[in-house]
Amino acid sequence: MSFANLPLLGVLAGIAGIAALLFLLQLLRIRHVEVAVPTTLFWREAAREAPVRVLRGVFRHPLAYLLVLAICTLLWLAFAGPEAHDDRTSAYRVLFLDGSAHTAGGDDFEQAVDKLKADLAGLPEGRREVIWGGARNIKLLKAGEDRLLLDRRLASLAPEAAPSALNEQLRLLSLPGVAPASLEFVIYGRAPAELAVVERLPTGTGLSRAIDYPDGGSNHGITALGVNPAASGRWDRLDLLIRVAGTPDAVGDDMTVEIAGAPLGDDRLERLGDGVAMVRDLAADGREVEVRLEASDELALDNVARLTLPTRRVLRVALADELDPAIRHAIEADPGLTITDEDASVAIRVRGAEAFSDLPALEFAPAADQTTAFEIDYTGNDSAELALRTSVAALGLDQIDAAGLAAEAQRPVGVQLRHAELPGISVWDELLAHYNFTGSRSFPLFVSRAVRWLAGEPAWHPYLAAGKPLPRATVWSLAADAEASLDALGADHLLGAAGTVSSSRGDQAVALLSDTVTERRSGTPLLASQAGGDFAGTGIVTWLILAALLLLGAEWYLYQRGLMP
Amino acid sequence: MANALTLSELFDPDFLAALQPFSLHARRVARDGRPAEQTSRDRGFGLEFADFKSYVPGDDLRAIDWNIYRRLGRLFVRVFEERRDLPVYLLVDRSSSMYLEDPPRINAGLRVALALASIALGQHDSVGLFSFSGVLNIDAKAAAGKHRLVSFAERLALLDERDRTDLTGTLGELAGHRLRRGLLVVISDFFDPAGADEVAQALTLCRHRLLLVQLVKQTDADPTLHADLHGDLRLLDCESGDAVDLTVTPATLARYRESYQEFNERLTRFATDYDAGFVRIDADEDVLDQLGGLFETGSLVV
Repeated sequence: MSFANLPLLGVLAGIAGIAALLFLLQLLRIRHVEVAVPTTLFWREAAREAPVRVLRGVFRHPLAYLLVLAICTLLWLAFAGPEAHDDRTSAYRVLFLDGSAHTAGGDDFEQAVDKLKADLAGLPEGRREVIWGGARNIKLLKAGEDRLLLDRRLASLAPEAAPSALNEQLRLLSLPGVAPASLEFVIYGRAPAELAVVERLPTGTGLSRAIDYPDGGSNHGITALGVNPAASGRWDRLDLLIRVAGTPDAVGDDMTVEIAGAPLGDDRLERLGDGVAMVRDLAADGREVEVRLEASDELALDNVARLTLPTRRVLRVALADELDPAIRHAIEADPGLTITDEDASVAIRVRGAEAFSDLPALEFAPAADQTTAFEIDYTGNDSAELALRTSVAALGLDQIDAAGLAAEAQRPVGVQLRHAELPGISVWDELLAHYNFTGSRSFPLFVSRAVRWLAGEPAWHPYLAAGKPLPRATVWSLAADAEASLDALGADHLLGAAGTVSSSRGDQAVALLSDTVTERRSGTPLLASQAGGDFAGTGIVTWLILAALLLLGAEWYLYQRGLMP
Repeated sequence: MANALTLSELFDPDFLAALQPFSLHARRVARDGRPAEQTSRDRGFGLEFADFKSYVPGDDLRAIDWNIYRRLGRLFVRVFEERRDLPVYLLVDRSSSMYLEDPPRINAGLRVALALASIALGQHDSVGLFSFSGVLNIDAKAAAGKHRLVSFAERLALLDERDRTDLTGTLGELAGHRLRRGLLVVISDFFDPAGADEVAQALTLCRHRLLLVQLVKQTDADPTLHADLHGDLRLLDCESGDAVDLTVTPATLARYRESYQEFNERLTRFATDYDAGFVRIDADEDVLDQLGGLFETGSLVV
């Protein structure tokens, strides 16, 4: 037995204080109200039978004292908030309300909420908390907070079009020092737990599901939506892949595809079987593709998926004649680049040349004129550190054999960054002529990325799926600066729920695309619960107050009957 | 302390006019009274024939019944009943308890006294006024005449509050005055510290016929109607100043009611045993209505 609001010593001291106070009150001389009456003739006899209490007089009415003491003690104990510590209630409980797409079907979510509220009523406030498991995990009710707050906080929440973050929460519990010695983790919803995660839970942690949902019935949904460079080889074209999965085996016959709101002709949709379809040679022009399954099923969230197509255009490059032929070969090998002097976006030249001086340029300079192998001029308001990190990744410099080059050149190969009005890259000429950079496999990649970086061309993403890590190149194009720093620390950059994510280069559609959601799998079997999932509470405080009220009623009855002073 | 009635408040013409139907009759009054309308033991020259007696020299020749003389040959004279007055002695309690509450009991007591005086003076009886608290005061000797009603009312209005009640002592003192036998009207709350038994014992010493007028208030029988009588109290006797400390509980109230009921029953029993008149007047209600109950047939026979 413990108390939520007071330590045991405080409770005992309070009871002793109440007993002493009531004792003094019992002895205390009463401040009489003086009333003049015509005669006291008839009152004298009555006064002999019911004399008043006087200070230090004989302690009268011990039973009355005990009754009042019992009432006050019960109320005091109720205030202290006693909590029984048996096997069912001693463990700290984390109640995980699944707000992901797993529990969005039918009335699964409503059932989970009802069960959660019923269980909360029977749990001590100080030893439980409620976590909302949507696209991100949120602590919905802290330990000690009144459960009445839950309704208001739940009012604005509904299942989100995102896979569950349950496993992230369980991984957190498996970290040393996070979970208490005795913990019961109860899942309210269908969110599946991964076997590897469950096995890593510390000893003393129970994992159970509050409701035994029946296995998922008929449901199908879109589990893949992505693009690849067109197999036809056309630089500005893409191939779109769509996959539909679910039970019973979904084939996606009811599928419709719209591009920028216009239905795609059925002849363009190539069905490959097993629910897989493809649209070939879509223009990579940044339009939004929406795929929709018309047939109704248990879960509607996975019946629609959207993808923003990347934008790909052929870049025009002005190339100086006196440069190493390896550069021309690298450009000509890239179908996204073309060499021309008209309307060029990027120039490649010898440093100091006057031609195309108003264009972003990739320049080559003698090592004697340049202290570092790569000098990068960047624009924008990014800090130098961020700009360096961004540009090194974007240019593929992190993939060149810098050590080999440095050994061959017998001097360090470094990168210097400076702010300028036009972006530019200056490279030692000797890297091409003498140090065999042109022979490196990373040289064409460097040239290709350098030209696109100078032209400001965004990296493109094959897909964007809720709850899945972004492709690394995509992070730099989508994330805001503050979020990008998260990635610098090594964390995965996860998209939240399906919908739209904004970036400096426009809105990008994010789709749900989850096999586990669509197939409504319950995941690995859970650990045996230590405490069971039914918390029909005893409500000790309620019983204490009821007992106090009962005794108050008895006191009133005795007083009315003249059996009590 | 509440104020008693002033003369203008007491001498209410409407109230007095409403008393006209009422009369007060004694079964027989004592001898040697003034000629009036009450039946007496005196024989003389009244209007009501009473008896015959043999003629003796000196009798009024006009009273000889000549019809009897013609039949019997002997002289008889007719004798008539003399009508006398009934002395009414009003004994009014002026102790502090009569002046305590609002309205005070003395107001009802003064109205009752004035009403009885008005009725008695109206039928040529003599009325005397006595007041008492710890001692007996003779405020007006017994006298007759309707014209005396105003002065009688003035004397009633002049009565002021005195200290404690000593009804038993007062009745003993009154018995010592050797007043002509008549009707003694005791107007009081009868809250004598000596108790109801002692009061009843003292009343038996009086040679007069008795009419007891008990002035009560609703709070006497049910103290819960008193706004202040709850919780822990120090009750102060308004006359003696004695204090009684108690906690008002249902048990206390029950014991009080029991005690008060015993007191009332003792007074009632005395009135029944000694053929005395008894009326309980609620000081909070209209006096005239309650007197109507006393003069049920219009006439009160004592």
